[in-house]
Amino acid sequence: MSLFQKQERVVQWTDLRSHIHRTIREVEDVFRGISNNLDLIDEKTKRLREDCEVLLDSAGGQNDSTKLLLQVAEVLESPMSFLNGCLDHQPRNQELMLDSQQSAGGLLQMQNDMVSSLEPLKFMLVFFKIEASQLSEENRQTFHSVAEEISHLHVLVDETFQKNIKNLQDARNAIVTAEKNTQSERKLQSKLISGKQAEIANAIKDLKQQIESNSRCSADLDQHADGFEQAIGKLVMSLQYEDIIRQRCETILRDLGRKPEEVSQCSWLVYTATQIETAAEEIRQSSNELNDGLNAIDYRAKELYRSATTMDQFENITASADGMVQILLESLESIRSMLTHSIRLSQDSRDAIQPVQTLTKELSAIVFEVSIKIQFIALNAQVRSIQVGEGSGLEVLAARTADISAELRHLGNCTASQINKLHEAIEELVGTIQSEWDDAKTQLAHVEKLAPGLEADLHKLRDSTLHSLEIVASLSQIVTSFSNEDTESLSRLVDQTDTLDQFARDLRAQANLEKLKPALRLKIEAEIDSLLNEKRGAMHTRIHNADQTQAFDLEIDKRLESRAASSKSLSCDNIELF
Amino acid sequence: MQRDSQTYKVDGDIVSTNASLHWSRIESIIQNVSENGILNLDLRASRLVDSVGLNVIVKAIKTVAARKARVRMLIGNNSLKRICTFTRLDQKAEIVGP
Repeated sequence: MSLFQKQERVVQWTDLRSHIHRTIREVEDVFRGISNNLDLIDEKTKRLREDCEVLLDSAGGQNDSTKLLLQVAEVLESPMSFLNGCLDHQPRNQELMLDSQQSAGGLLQMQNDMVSSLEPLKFMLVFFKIEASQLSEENRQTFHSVAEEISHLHVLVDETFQKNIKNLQDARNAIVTAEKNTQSERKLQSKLISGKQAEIANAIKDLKQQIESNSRCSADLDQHADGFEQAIGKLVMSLQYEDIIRQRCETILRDLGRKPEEVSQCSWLVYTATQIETAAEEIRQSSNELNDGLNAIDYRAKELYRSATTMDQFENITASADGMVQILLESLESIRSMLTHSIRLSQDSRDAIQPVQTLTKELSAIVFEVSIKIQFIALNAQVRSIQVGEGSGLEVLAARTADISAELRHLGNCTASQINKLHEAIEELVGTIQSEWDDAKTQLAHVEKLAPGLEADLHKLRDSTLHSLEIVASLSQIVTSFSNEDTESLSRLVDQTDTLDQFARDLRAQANLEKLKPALRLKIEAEIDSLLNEKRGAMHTRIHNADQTQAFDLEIDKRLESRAASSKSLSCDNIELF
Repeated sequence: MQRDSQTYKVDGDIVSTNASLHWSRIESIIQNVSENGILNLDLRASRLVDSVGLNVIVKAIKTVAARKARVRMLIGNNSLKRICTFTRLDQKAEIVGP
């Protein structure tokens, strides 16, 4: 038989008692579930707050992350300046290379001129031999010895000058190639360095601006974290309904079957129905408030997640694909590559130019030797012509040899001066290249020593940011899942209220107040009011404490304890609900 | 898939311990990406990309961009998608999924 069959309309007190017990258990169960979830969320929120700070600091480039980012930028500064210095040397090096090329070209010409100057000696050798054949044996020997010296000189010139001409041509080509390579490489390097420098400078400028603007206003993420905490605080406050409902239900249970003798049955039935209706209303209100609170938490958690994921108040976060961490990582890689390149370039230039340095020394010695020899031949020819006497023809040849010697001496002096010029240019060039080479190696060694640690720290910074993001996301998911779970459990409470309402309706029907005479009805109503007034003073009511919702440390455990204590101590001052 | 697309299917996470291996594989595939072409980075098997892994992806995007081509990232889970949004990779490459 149904509990609420219309024809009976008599409420069984045992059924009512049993349902109220069930209601208390359901309320306890639902509130404990929400409270436990809140405990967990509270614990996570503390961690979340720390991670939001980490996220803001690392993404915005503040505090320790600023130190690291600026430290890396500082490490990059020295090699950047060095490479810029190399670029500054470039015009002078280029000038020296061009001078060397010209000197080598000039030397080549002079070598050819010297060969041309010595050319007449070949014919003179024939003349010497013709003239010698007409002389006496003794004088013929004199002629032959001069001719022999000329032959030796020719051998020397043929052997060395041809080699020199080839070497000079090779040297000139090597200088031209080195100059072209250096020019194109340095041009490329110049573009890269200026690009990198501008990139780093802009990133540092953005970072400083970002730090400055962040210090002026609190970040969105921070505000969303505050909002999230406030929503949790509000929900905690809503949990006080548990005590209110429990006390109401316990009062109903206590009164069941304990009607005072002086109170009429009708008054007692209506009084009980009113208490049950109030309990049902309190459960509905608590359910709505908790539902709103859960929705607010869910919304705030989603906002916090969205804010953490997009960080949209920052134009450029340090962890982004074109953020400070990425720029510095790429710069460290680029600077190492540029320094390695610079070392190779210096080495190539040095390898190309060093043979020219050796060649200038050799050339100098050979030109000096040729000049001395021809002077010696000319002098010897003059001495021998005097010994042989006039008319031998030797004096004519000696005079011509002297002319050639003078011409060669002049060419030798010019060559020596040209060699000196080339030598000086090459020395300066080799010195600069050597110094750049040494300095580049020192710079590279320094960067190689520091870069791995700095790169590891930069990655650590970005990983920590990503990890914090993961925690924010995970909390958001937990909150959403708890929120859904709790919202579902709240529907069980609403089911209880439907049954309670039905009990109240049946009790009112049983009292049949409407059918009483007005005078008696008034008397009964006064009696009911008196009974309800008696209870009102001893009941808990909903309190609101806005300050508590602002606190960061929600201290849910303490709040639960204080709620338990308040259920014993609250007085009739709090009579908002009844 | 378009005709002028190249695909690199990542077989797991891209983290510091295997990033250089992934980069060497990606780099060789990039050589075949034509102008206006697409490099598909299939990350559906990846659950995690750390900072070093991110570096590899950014390098791939930049190298591909230098060839006047673009990168499409196929994502299989929310965590990776979140990283793409957070690091603004979604502004540098096309993100598909999850």
